[in-house]
Amino acid sequence: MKRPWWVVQLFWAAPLLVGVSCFVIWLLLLGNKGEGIADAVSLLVGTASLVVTVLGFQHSGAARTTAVKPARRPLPRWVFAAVPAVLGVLGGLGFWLVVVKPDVPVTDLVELSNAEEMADGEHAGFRVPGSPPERRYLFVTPTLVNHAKVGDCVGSARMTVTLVRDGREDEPIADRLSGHEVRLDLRGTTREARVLIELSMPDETCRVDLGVTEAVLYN
Amino acid sequence: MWTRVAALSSALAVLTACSLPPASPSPPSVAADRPMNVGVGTDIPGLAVLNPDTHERRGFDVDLYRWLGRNTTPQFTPVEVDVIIAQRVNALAQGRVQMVVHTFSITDERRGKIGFAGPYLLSKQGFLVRADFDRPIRTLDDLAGLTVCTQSGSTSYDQLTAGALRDRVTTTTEIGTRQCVERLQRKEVDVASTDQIILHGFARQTPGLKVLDLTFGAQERYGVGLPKNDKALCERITDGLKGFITNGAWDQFFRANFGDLNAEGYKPDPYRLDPCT
Repeated sequence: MKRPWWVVQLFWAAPLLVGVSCFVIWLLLLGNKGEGIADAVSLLVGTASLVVTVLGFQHSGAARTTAVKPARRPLPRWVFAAVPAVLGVLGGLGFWLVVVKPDVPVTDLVELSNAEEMADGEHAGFRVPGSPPERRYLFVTPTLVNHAKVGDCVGSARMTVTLVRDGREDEPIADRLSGHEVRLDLRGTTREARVLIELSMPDETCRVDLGVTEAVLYN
Repeated sequence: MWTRVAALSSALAVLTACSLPPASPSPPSVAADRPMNVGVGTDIPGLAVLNPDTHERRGFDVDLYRWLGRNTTPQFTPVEVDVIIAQRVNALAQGRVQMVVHTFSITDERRGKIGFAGPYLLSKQGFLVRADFDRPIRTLDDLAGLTVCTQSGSTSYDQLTAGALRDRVTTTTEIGTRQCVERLQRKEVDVASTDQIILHGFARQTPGLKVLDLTFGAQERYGVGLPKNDKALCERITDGLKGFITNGAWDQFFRANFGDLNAEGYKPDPYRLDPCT
């Protein structure tokens, strides 16, 4: 028994779409933000458009060869390619114009205070650039440096990060490690946002410098 | 049609390959019930001593890796490999051993080359003197003008020459702490200095010596040295250490190797072990 044309097409289209979907999900789980999310989603949209276009060509060809008694005049072949292509372009354009805003790297604008020679229990902080900040989220990577040859200071240190929006403290984010990213939701900030970082180290003799290796505002 | 499908698939494969981040190197973890080479010391009283006649090993470190072999999942059989202090990092980095349990202080500098699980024992820098030493020493100021012996290339040497005692004591070095203890007994030096827990081991073994109730410098946090990036093994050993400290084995082995020494200041918080990154 001869299989319908679309069943044959599923043998390559379905694995392709499933594979790309899994790849995109994996990309999103890596922790992409802002533009990264848009890029990942674009890959899926692009692949889907391609599949629809190819299927359109196949259907058009299959209809021509298998139709014995056409009930009505078949649509021109180019329609099957043009409609999905136009829909894809319009959808992508809308996504980029409405949803996507470029990330704003602000690493160089972060000015830390009290961040040198920090001991156990001390606080450092910085003001989030912008009044109010230009994007909804802040991604920041605080990093500690031990200048001494001795001491297990950085590896054993924990940081508690607190966002202060317009003077009001959010719930602290505890037990953050040096070199690991922290994501903060700046939603509702009308004037300014500050980030406070409290340092906790088991060895009271440790002295470390706190720095920010990456800070990005994004949506 | 199949030509087109193949071309499309190839293009996507190339795209995927270009987008994938490079895989991080990760050495394979030790499989279940297999022998594991463990780097150990041979001459640190209280922690790791090898009797050359009977080939028996004793000490807190020895008790620890044997306990880990029996109580981590999967179990492993420790194969003891003698490693000198100065070769601990290289032994791991070169793959001669898969684990080092050898008074191995976790430091940020070493973390760049190898991994650690722990800490399982804490100590600060201490001082060992002859029991008949008549000069009262209660503060670091009282050490001014004395000759202090320590092991060359050790964190003890770094702290004696760079910390609060810099230029206030005369520092002399030996290849090992035992050599410093022997010079102390011969009255060639006034004080021997290294991690206080090691000094307690020597004092317990050697009559006529006493450990001062005085410490300085950074906290030494002994960890189990592991190959860098072997997160699975690190998490396995960290879980084991947590159980080791909480279930009474730590206290039992500490008493067996250090007698009545107060464990306060030496026992780590089992709920605050270093994360495996």
